Amino acid sequence: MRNKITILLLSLSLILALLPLTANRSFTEKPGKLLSDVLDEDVTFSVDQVARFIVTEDSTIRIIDLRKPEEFRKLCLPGSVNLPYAEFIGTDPDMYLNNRNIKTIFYSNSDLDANYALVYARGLGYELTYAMEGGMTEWMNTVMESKFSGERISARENAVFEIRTRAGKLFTELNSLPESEKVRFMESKKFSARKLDGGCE
Amino acid sequence: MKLLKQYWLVLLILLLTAAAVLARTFCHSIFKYDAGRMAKPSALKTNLITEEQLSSLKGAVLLLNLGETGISGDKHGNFTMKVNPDSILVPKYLDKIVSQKGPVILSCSENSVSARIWMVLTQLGIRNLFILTADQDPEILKKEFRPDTLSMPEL
Repeated sequence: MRNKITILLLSLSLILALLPLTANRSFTEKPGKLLSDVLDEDVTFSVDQVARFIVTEDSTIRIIDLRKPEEFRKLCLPGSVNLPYAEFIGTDPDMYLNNRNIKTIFYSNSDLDANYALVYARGLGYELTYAMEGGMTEWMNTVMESKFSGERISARENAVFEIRTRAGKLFTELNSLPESEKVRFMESKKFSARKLDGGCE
Repeated sequence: MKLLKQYWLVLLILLLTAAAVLARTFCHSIFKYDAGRMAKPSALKTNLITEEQLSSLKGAVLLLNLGETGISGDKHGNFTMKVNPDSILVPKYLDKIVSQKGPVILSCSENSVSARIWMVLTQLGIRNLFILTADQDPEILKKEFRPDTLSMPEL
């Protein structure tokens, strides 16, 4: 009798202890630390920094396009892979962010989705995740409409201008492909759990 | 009484566990909810509200002004709280947000900051939380791209 009661009480105790763990996955970071991390300036990259990564084909960087597939097919950054935001939060992020040695940069059309994804990923413990400031809108304004007017240009300005020009050229070349070729090309590069490399190259 | 004496250790463990579970269940300073489920309104964009929609809201609204700019609380007759984004988890502010019965609106000149705060607060279990935006969907690209049909990528 005594053993039965002991087992019963211990079982109840175990059930109680496991109750809060029934959620599929919750943020692992502490709220205070997460808030401080995501409000830091270092969690974002400017479009110029991303343009440099693209031009130099930096292999330590992975660019994730969070927009819908139809938007991605129409327009995307060279080297990016498509992972719609709804899909990102609906599946196990480890399928996409399992390589913890490379930096992942999220972008969307504006700032919202990329920053949701940034906090979401960091909350789940993926530290090397970042957002591109201003998204595709900022890319179009800054990189694609980059112009220089004036008589003199400093070395720094010249370097930025050159990167923008080269990145803009890559972007134009890729996104000017005929629809049929582009769809076929994008489908072969669609982000999947099995294929983590490659993309809109 | 005899039973209590016999099982005091087991009962103590049970009580301590129950206390820990209750503390975790009702504590708003830890993440305990399913992250994907809590983030869903952001994918559906049901967490966005325009100024026009805000003025038609009924019931008490708590407006969290996360920066120097933002709409005035007086204009809508609702409570406005100015708070620095990095202080949002300070108990005096967090308690006010948690105890709010009506909608909580995040207002900031930068959507990126509102989005980050929204995700953190939502994952803490705060519902009825909205981001005040200028457009119904700020994630629509308004820029046109002109293809260059003469250029071909070097594949």
